Amino acid sequence: MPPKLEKVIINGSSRHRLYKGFLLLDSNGYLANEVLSKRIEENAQQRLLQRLALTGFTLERLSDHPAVMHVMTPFLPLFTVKQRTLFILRLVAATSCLLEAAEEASCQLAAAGVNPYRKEDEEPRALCADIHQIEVYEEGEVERIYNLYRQFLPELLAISTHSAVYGTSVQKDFSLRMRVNLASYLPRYISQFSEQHLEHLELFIRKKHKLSNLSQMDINPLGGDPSALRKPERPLLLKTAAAVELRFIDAQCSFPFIRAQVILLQALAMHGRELARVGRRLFPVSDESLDENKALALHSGGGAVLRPDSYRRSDEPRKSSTYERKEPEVATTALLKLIEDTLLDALLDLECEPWELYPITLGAELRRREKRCFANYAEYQQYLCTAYPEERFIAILQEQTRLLLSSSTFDIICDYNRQLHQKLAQEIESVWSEKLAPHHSSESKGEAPC
Amino acid sequence: MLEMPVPAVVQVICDLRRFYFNIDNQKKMDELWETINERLVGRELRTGSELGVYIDRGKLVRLWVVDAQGQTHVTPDTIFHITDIVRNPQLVYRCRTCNNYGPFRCMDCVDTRPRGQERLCSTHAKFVEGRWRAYCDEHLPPCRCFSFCKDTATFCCEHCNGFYGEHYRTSHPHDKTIDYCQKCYDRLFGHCSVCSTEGRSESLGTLRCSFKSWDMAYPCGEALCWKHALQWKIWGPHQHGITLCERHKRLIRNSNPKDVLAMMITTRPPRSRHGKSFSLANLYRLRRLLKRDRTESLSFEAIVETLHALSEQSKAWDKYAQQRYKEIVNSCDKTLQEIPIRQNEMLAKIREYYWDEVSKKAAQAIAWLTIEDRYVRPGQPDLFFLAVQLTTPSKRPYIGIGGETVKRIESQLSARLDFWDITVTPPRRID
Repeated sequence: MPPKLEKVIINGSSRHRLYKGFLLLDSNGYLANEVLSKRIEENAQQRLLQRLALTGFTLERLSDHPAVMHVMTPFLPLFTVKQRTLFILRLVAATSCLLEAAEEASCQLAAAGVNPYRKEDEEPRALCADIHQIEVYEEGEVERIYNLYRQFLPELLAISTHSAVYGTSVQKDFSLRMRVNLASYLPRYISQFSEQHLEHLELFIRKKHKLSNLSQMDINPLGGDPSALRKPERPLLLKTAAAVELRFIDAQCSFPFIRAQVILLQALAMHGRELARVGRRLFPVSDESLDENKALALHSGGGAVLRPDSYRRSDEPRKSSTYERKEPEVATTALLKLIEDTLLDALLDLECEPWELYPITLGAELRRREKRCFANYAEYQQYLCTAYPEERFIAILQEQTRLLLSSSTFDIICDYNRQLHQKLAQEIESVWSEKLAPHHSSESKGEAPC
Repeated sequence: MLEMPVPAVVQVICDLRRFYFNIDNQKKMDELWETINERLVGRELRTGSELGVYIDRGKLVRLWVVDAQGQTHVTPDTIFHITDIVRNPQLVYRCRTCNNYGPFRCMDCVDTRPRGQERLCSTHAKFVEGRWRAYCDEHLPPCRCFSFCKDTATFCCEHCNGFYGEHYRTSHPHDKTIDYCQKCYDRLFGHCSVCSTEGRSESLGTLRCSFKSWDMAYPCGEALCWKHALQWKIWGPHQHGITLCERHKRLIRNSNPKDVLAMMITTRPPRSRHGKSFSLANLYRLRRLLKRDRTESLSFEAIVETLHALSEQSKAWDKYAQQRYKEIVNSCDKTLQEIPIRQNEMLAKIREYYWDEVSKKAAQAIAWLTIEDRYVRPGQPDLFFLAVQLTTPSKRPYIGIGGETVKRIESQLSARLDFWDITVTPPRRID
């Protein structure tokens, strides 16, 4: 009997790398200084090296600020639930190394875009992000996946905001980090991507948009090792790889939430990969419209009402995004529609379990039904800050952050939403179980169920 | 009861980049699997390693092991999961030259060639630095330098956005990634010629002498700093004027009025909304400007005639200059027609005044008058400068004691009167 082929995914996901961001704070909530953070980094690095399961995990300081630390994962496959669970467990373990090292130095960790406890001199300079890198195999994929992330940047940004509180005061933006970040530029539509002509592209972007470096865009098409694209039949599964890098996500404090984000990002990449492989391309959404929606998303988070692309000329009645539907849409609802209309097949190929997506979908579904709920952690942060006096807010947030960073399954906003709307949550969960059941996709395509 | 061991599932990525057939569904993959599965038995399994199987004539199927699940070799009961089929994309868009993937389009070919024939691959697409637009060899734009060379463009000027060939490229003094054409470079970074002569090189010559005569193909263009450039403020004291170098500043008084008029019309007027800008569509003002330091007199008729003589030359000017030219000619024609009528009216009034106030003889001695100039005064009647021509050498009766007689008529007519003796040749201004 020859070896059996049990399962085939035609356009699958690729490996994923995460630079998980943390803010190192002293016991009073102030940002750690250079000496302190270096001591913590060395201690945590030693702890990482002692754990065999964390081979390839490293600690890095990507930001200019000494208090911003990143736990960097290697490129890891996330094709199955088991692999994703392993990814998250290893991330939690790596985080615990950092957490232990910080506590040993009487410090604490915060996982938010800016320091929620204490203010810096003027504007925050310690800006903390979760940077995701999605592996790509060839230039066509870069073009499609990059443009796809660009098109859905406002929706993704809206649920990823997590810097609504700075120095115990509620900010006017849900993502203060994105507002003050000097290295955050609107990703421009790339009609044709070729590594061979990268210099021309960079020169063009510099001349037309006055942007000297593509990697400063919120979506960086040159993440990882872009030189890998030059070799047409490069071996796969190497340690280094070309990747599309997402720089717009504020540092998150809940690992189930990060898991849901990772799944969504991978599903979008799978859709882009499919487009590339069948030779299809993506229509351009105007920069003006995207810029406006990005501003709305970082200002209002999940509650932002995204506007359609009024600059678009084509009258084709395609309806896969806010821009094509030509009607304003709440960001969370727009994201749900994106999942339902475009990403379901990819999610099935990822063997996505409904519970993996609940941290995002439950809040969004409740919001669609106009129920009071939390759609992301920026809203929760804001709620805590308004509901409690300053000292109590600090104590609660510190305690909850510690709990969240120590657990791979604890997700406060999901638990809160479920408790507040028990019956409705059950109903939503059963609907999503149905949507993500394996037969759903083939039925919708008009094929016989397996 | 004995439990059957669960067979391990080996995850692989199927790499078909050297297989050349498009495997894009489960059925095709199953068929391919049938041809390779037996050849996998006994092969070593290691996470990250490759299982390569040649089909025929160089067709290679590669399986990259994502997760070997602890298995060391492929056995007949090994179960495989393919997590992705990495393959070359379907070629919907093909390069018209080599038939490879052609993501680029020559936009000039879009209208002239059949659909799909405008496509180019990264090798055959040509670019001009600073533009993300692809061209085919045929449509690569030519160099736009003034020497009318036959080169193709290789870069786009940062300042004027024009396309130029390599010979016309000059880099920014401090940033080698920014390119300018030579003309723009000189304009932006050229040093003041006067300062350079004096041995000082720090002043930038941002101003250019605009002097141009009929026998010059281009304006003088001498680079000057603000200190060494003369601004001939023809649009008023609070606006920039025509820039002239030291040499042409002296020449302007002797230049042909036709050249000077052409220069005044073709030079771009100020666009600033701050400060009052005077229009050149005023015959009196034109004459005042043209008479600057000039020894010989210029009549209104001569100026209008000169303006009309420019009509042929004006066809080569840009549309804005042509528009300004038409406006000036129309206004001057109209003024020229009005002048004799107004002169007659004023002459009659002055004669009548002196007949009544001085004597019949004094009135009869006024031979003629000419309007020399006219100033527009906001909120007040226009002020005329009149040359009154007398057939007598004395102006005393016309001035009166303490100038009372002449002041009254000046105030009535809103004019300043100058008296000229025409009994001598040439006529003499009576002081």
